Order: sequence, then structure tokens, then C-alpha cells
Amino acid sequence: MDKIKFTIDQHEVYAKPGQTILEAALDAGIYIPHICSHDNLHPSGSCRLCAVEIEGREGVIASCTTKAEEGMKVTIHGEKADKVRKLSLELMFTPHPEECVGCPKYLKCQLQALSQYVGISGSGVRHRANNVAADNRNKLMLHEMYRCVLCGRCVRVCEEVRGVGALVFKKVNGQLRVVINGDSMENSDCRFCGACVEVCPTGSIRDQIGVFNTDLPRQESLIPCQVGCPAHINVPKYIRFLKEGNYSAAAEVVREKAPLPKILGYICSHFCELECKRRFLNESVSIRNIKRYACEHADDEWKKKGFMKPATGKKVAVVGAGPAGLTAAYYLKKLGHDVTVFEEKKFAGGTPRFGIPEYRLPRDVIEEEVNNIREIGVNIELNHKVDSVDSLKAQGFDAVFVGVGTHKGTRLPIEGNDLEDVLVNVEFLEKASLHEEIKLGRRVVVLGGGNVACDCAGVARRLGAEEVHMACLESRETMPAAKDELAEVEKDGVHVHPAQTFNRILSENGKVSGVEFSNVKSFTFDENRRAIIEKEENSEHVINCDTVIFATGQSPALDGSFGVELGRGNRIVVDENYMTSSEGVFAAGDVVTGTASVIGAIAETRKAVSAMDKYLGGDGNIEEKLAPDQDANPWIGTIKDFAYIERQKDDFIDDDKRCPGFALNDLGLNEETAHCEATRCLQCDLRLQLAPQKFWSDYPIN
Amino acid sequence: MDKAKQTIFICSAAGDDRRAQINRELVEKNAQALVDAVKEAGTAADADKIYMYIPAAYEAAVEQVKPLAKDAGVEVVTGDDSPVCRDKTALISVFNGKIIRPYFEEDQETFRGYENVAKIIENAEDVLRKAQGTEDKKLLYVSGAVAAPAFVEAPYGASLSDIIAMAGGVKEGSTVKAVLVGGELGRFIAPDALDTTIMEKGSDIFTGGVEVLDQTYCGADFTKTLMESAREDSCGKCPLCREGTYQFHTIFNEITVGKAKVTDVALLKDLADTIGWGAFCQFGQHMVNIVKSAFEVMGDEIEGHIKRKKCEAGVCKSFMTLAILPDKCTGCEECADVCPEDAIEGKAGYIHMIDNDMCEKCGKCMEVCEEDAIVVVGSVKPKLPKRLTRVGRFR
Repeated sequence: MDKIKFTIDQHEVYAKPGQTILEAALDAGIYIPHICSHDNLHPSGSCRLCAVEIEGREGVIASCTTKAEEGMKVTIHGEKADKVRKLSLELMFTPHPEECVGCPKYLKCQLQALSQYVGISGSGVRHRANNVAADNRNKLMLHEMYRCVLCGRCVRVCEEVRGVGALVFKKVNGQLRVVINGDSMENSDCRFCGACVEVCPTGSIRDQIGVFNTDLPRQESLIPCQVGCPAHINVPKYIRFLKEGNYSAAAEVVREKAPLPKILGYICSHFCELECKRRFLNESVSIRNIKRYACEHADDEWKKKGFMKPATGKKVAVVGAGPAGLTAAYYLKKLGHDVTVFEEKKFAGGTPRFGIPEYRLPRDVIEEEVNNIREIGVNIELNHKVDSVDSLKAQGFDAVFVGVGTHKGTRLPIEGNDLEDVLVNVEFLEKASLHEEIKLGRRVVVLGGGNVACDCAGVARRLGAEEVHMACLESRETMPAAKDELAEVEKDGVHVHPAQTFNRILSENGKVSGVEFSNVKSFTFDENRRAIIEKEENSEHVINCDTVIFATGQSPALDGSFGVELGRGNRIVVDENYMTSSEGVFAAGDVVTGTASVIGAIAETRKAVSAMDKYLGGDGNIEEKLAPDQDANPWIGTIKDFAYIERQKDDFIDDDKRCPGFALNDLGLNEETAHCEATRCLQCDLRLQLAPQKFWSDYPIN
Repeated sequence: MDKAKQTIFICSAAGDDRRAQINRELVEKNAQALVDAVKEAGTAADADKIYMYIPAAYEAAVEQVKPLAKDAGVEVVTGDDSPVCRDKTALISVFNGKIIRPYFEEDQETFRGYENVAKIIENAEDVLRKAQGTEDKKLLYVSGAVAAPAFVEAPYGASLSDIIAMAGGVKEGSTVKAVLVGGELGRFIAPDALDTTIMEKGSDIFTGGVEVLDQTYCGADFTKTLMESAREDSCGKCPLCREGTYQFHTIFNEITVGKAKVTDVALLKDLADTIGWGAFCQFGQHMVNIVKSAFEVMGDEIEGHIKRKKCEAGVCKSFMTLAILPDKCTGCEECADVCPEDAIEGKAGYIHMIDNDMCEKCGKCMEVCEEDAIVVVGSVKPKLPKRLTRVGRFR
């Protein structure tokens, strides 16, 4: 392609055919002031700040709407052009608030930077009051249009780039303004993509405070779901693939960051949803269920993709076949190391297999994902307990990964905790998972308010307990259990009692007869993270029962003989490279962090594997590309009543089929609801396609 | 360039000089002929679809044209209007149901835009005259201080004097101060240039209105009115025009109420020059000519408001002083009763007095006074009583 050679001031500039003077100048690092112009928008020519003079042409020429021509001689700061620029900017400021300091865009404002660069002289033009009320109603974006200088970028991006038209120009009382095309953002066909915020040069249209984490770099903060996910799965990308009907690609996007996508589809703690921007509009997108739908409808093509490095000759042992151990084994094998997984139990899967009841996570799903890992050549030795890491080292392993989780339940030190019918979460759930016989009474009290307590209560109901109570210290609002899991157990008929402290377990003839509680007035932690509980006086009361289950936390089933340093709560202590006190022994997952989440364990393990690979002489790169590239269409158009589309509910089995029995309860989304959920996505990532705002100081020649 | 998806023909009756409304007159008087001419022109241009754009405000014109157009297969589109619509892109915007706003169009030949529809846009008068073979004439509206204000068909080549003569010439008793040609986008012509100002084809001022200003017009007040209209009509796209018209209107208003500063004259001239160089479209580039020519033709009168605090024409009320002539007042109290500002002091049988600081110069007192005792005072102030004085006792 021929280049067009011309000059700007004393600089020789080459333009691509069709480029305007302004585009060519900016590409060459030469600053010409401008404000209505934006990389992603068609030229408008409205601000007149890019005025230049061209030799042989009369008057002042807008460089944003004039094509560069061979041999053209452009002068940026001609007398007339500078006068036009100065006046235009000065007039732009006449209806603009005079004080910059109080503006949230202070020092990040293109208008402010321009006033610095161009300079504003007091020529005597009259200031004009611009009384436009702030519009704070929408929880995502706010409008303070009294700052608007009518550059039109928001209107243009909404119309030209997005095909939406939620913002329009309108004359109000004779004054041109940018207004919402409707009585509210919700009724304006707005898709809440935030493009208007992204292009606004002033503080007129902004994200509401709290929508994004402004401490993070732009690339991250603008996609809250992805940044919320511990493994940083590219959520908008897979949602878009699902919407296109490309389920395999969607699942591949998940798999790029997490080798157990199906399990996650069922039981992930969905931090993404907690961050989802749509929650400010109505409810978060049902991201986990979108993932589940995609994974269940994906093919196996991913197995042919990704990397498999040549054998390194290094031998690695992985202790524990839970999410952490399986993730470690998967990547370590792909990195070329010879991997053996040691699992003390008779099934692989860890907490998902033994802790999470099968009515929430079918066992064949776990089996399938474990087999995928076996398939690449990972050897899993079941029923093989590892007593100490030193024994592994002695067997010639070059490195060891410990991911044994937290499988020891906590019995609170209260009267009656050692009675025969007092059970502990881990053992109870494990027995239920293995279909072993459990002696359970008619009336069960579960002590604890987390997700594990919910599982214990749900399992108790399904095993035939007629009356199940769940009691915890925390108030209803601060209970650690996820809101949806709590709703599920209540559907099972479990009675939830928040703000209770457990005084003692009562017994008659050596048999549990009830639990005595007091109401909690306040429950806080002191600076040493010790619980401070204030009881309500004379509020003692008893719930009669014949079985008590402790679901009050769990810790690693380890002791000093294992050969690594243990810290608080018996957790393994690791350094910043995930290495334990024992050379070559790494650890990650619950055993390091305490009981957390599957996705958290996977994310941490990925980092640990990377460090391990470096330890073993590799480059530590575990990133793989499974999904195809995606060219997200910026033209999103309008969808009727988009703001009001409600979060789609999963399909469930009939309520009367829930208890007793262990049939899968939550059937997930169907084709229609999954696609509807994908449609609800606000596609926050599209904003990154828009060029970030630049200032005169960003150009070397200014 | 590949072929446009479609070609449409738009005959525009928009963009009138508001003070003349040539297109309204033209459409109302020649509805059938115009529709036929549009059909013919559109067909000759090989257009896929033929439209007429008529400002919605021209209700009678729209009423008349609609059934005729329907029969001819011409679609009538109505909507907003302002002189900005003389710009083809602005017309396309408003034709498409958006606000009046010109835009940057790369393809200046067919204006096909992103939708790839080529547009042929022609003005209603041009279309009609082409069909009638009267392209040597132009419809104008001559008004102001003329004997018979009227629409006239002036031939190209006529001088401004000739054109004024077509409306019966300058009104008896009038002294021409200036002639405004072309409304808010036109220019003031000095009285000594009437013979030498010739209407040429393609002139950017002979667009409709010819308004003769005599001694009863105030140059500052009239310019203020034009700038108020320009401010309302400015589409607001570029700050130079949007805020420039605001500055012009505001400062001219300050001139008429005696609040302008001496430095404002230079400021206005400077603004007019710079905006003329830099404005996005012809509206902004042309409206400054009103300000420039106002100073050229009526500069002394306008500056008189600032420097001498005086409105020669007696139009700007702020500079007026009202007085009740002591020898005519009968103390009837009518004026005091009617004064909305309570600015008249007096009681039955006493000579009434006006407090000019409170007076809003509404003139109601002058209307009710049967003795014609209340007058606008010129530079010579009559001798007036300082305190309440019985009728007949003041000397």
C-alpha cells in the first residue's frame, strides 16, 4: 500500500491512504488538540479544536475531517487556527462548572488537559448557567450532564458502534443536550455496556462508585466476573460462545483455566456471580449454570488441543486426589513430568466425592473428569495413604505436591460432645457418600451455618430424619452459607436458627436428648480473630433431638509426622513459591488456605504447579489455548425490555421427590433459559475494545 | 466505489429564512405544479423513490400537498425545520427523523452515508422553476418600511433598489437606515449601496427576505432579535456556533439594556471573525455576517447605546425617560391607577409624577391619559415638579 507523504509543521509524516490529517498526526506521535474525535468513532468535526492551516488553502481547516494528501503542508499553530481553537475551547467552558477540583474526573479529564494545553484567556465571554439536574437513578451509570460539553462521543458510540441509540441529542428549553432516549436508562434500550462512560472526556457520564474496583488496572477492573473468579476464567467469552451455540468452545474457555469444568458447573462457589455487574440492574447472570450447560453439551475435541510437553524424566508425587491434587497432576503431566497420585480413599475426587452430597453433584460427573486426567497418563493409586513426604522422597520422587484438603471435622468443646449420637460433618458426609450405614435418629440438630452444615442437614433429611434443625452463631444476614444453598435446605424442610450459641448437648441415659441454646445478642471477632459472643440473658432454650452433627469447621488431617511445617489450624505453611518447609515439597488448596472453594484450590494449584515446574527446570508456563479466538461483535443492537429480563431459574425435580433419596435436585438450565441467561450478560469486556483516553502528554511531539 | 443500494430524490421545502417563509408561500400557491415538477425531476434523476420534505409547521402546505403527492407516487415527509436544513446532511438527518444536525459526509456527491443510499436533494423553488422554465427569477418577500410589503418575483440582475420598488418603494416619511437581506443568515446593506447590490444567481444572501429598516428600527435591538432567533436555530453541534450565538444574543441584549461594556464592541467583532473562520457549517459561518454588517452599517447607533447610554430610535426602553407634563396633567389619577409598577405618585387634583427608576416603560399610562400629558422625553428634559404640587400651581 502506498503511503502518502506530507508535512505537519517541520515534521515529515506518512499517512495510510484514506487517513485524515489528524489520524496520521496522532499515529506519528504528533499531537493536534481534539475532543470530539475518538479512535473508534467516525469523524464528527464538531469541536473545532483540531483546526489547522494548510498552505494554499484559505482559512481554517478541521484536520479530523480532512484527508491527508501527498505533499500537503500543514501548520498546526497558525494564527487563525489557534484563534479558532482557543475560542472554541473557551466557549465550551462557558456553560461548564468553573471549579475542577470538586469533579471526580479531576486530573483524568480530557477537557481539563486541553485547557492546560490550549490555555484559556479571559476574553470577556459571558459564563452561562447550565442547570441540568444530576441523574443518579441508575445503579451502574450516573449522569451529571451539567459538565457535558456536547462532544457527542457518547451518543455516537451508542449509535455507531453499539447500534443501540440509548443516548440522543435533544433540545431542551432551546439548549442542546445529551439525554436518555426514554424516561430512564432502563427504558431507553440501553444495554449497559458502559461504552458511553468509556468515551466521555469529562465527568458527565461515569460509572457509579463501587461498580468497578478502581484499584485494579483497567484491563482487569472492567470485567468484574473474570477478576472475581480466582482462576480468572474469561467469563464473557464463554457466555458469548454459548449464545452462539458453540458449547464446545464455551467449555474450552473454562477448561483453559480449570481442568474440572463439569464439577465446577455443578458446585462452583461462583465468585463471578457475586461480582457480576448485572446485579446492580436486577440480578447477576446465572454464570455457573451457563458453564454447566455448556460443559454438558460440549464435545471432546479439546482433548486434541492444548500442549503436551516431551518427557522431562522427572518423577513427581501428588498426595491427594481432590481438586488440588487432580489439577496439579493434570498440569504436571502435561509439562512432561511423570506423575503418580496417591489417594488414601477408595475413590478419587476429594471433597467433591466425599463432602458434597450426590444430590448436588452426580458421581459419574466426577468419575468422568477424573478419567480425563487419567487419560493423559496420570497414574492414580487409590487406597494408598502417604504417611510422610520423606518416604516419597526416599522412593525417588523429584518433587511432591500435597493437596490433601481438610478432612478432619471439629468437635466443639461443649458438654456432651462425646456422646454416642454426636456426629461430625466430615465423617457423616463421607459415610453417606459411600452409602455406609449411618445410625441417625428421627430428630437431628446440625450445629453450624456454612455450606457444609447445609449439606449435612440436606443429607440428614434424605436419610429419613423427620425433623432437621440447623443452628449457628451468625445472624441470618452474615451466615457463611451461600444464599442459594440455604434456600435449598429450607426447601428440604430444614429449620434454620441463626444467632444461637450452643451451651451443651443434653442427654438422658447416655443418649442425646436435645441441645441447649442461648440467643446471641452480638457476635464479633477481636483483633486476634477470636470470637466474642454476647449472650442474651435468660434466653436458654432447648431443641429436643436424638442426633447432633457438628458442622463447625474442619482442618487438615495431618500432624508433625507428615514432615512439613504446620501452622495455625494445622494448615501447611508455604512460601511465596508454594514450597513447604521440606525442600521440593509443594502444597496448595484447602490444606494451605483452610476450607475454601474448589475453584480457589484449582487457581492456587495452578500457581503452585507453575512454581514446581520451574523448580524442576521447566519454564513454568501452564497456559494453554483450547478455545478458538473470538471476535466479539461490538454492534449489540437492542433487545426489548433488556433491563428487566429476570434471572432464569434452574429446572428442579418435583419437591416431593427430593426426600428421601439422593436424586439430583438441580437440573440446571435448559436450552431456552441458558440462552436467555447468556443474553442477559452485559458484555463488560466489549468496553476494552474501545481505545483508552489519551492526553497531549501521551504524544512525544506536542 | 461500488453502486449505491438505492437512490432517493428529496425535494426540500425546509431551510427557509424564517422572516420570509418563501417555501411556505411557494408550496401553498403551487401545490399541484410543484408535485408534478418533483415527480418529473425525481423520475428524470432515475430515483428509486421520490420524497418531498415539508416542515411540519407549514400545516396548510402539508395538507394541500399530501393528497396530490399520494396520487403522484411521491411520499411526503414532515418534520422540524430551521435554516440549518439548507445543509444537505442536516436535511438528511431531519428527514431520517433525527434532530437537525449536519454531519461530516465523505461522499459529497451522493451523500450515500453508512446506509449506502444515494440521495439527490433539491430545493423546492429550484425544482419548480426548472419545470416552469422560470429559472431567471427568484421569489422574495419584501417587508419593513416599504409602501406595500409583498412577495415579489424578482429577476436575477435586479438591484436592491429595483426589488424594493417592486414592493411600492420605501414608505412615505421613512428614511432608510439599512436593508436586511437574507434574514438571520444574511447581511445588512447600507442605504448608499442599494443600487450597487445586485441579486446574482447563487447569492448566499438573496434567499428570501428583504427587510427595509427605517428610523423607527433600533439597530441594536433588531440585531438582538436576529441573534435570538439564530441562537434558537443553531443546531448546537459546534461550540463556536452554539455558544457563539448565545454570546451574541446575550451581549446584544446587554447593549439594549445599557449593561454592555465599551470593550464588548471589539469582543463581538472578534468573535464574529473567529466563528466565521471556524464554524462547522454555513449556518455558523454566515450568521456572524449579521453582527459584522450591523457594526459596518449601524455601528455608530449601536455603540451609542454603550457610550452615550442612548437609543436613537427610542426603541430600547431602558434608555427612555417618561414625564408627565405639568401644564397638561389634570390630576385625574387614571395613570397612577393603571401603573403596574406603582411608579406614579399623585393624588386627585395634584400634578402626577413618574419615578423613572421604578418605571418599566410599559406605556400603559400614556394609553389611558386623555390629556396626552405623558410623553417620552428626548435629550431636552422639560421642567418638572420635585414634590406634589396642586394642578395649576407649578411654574
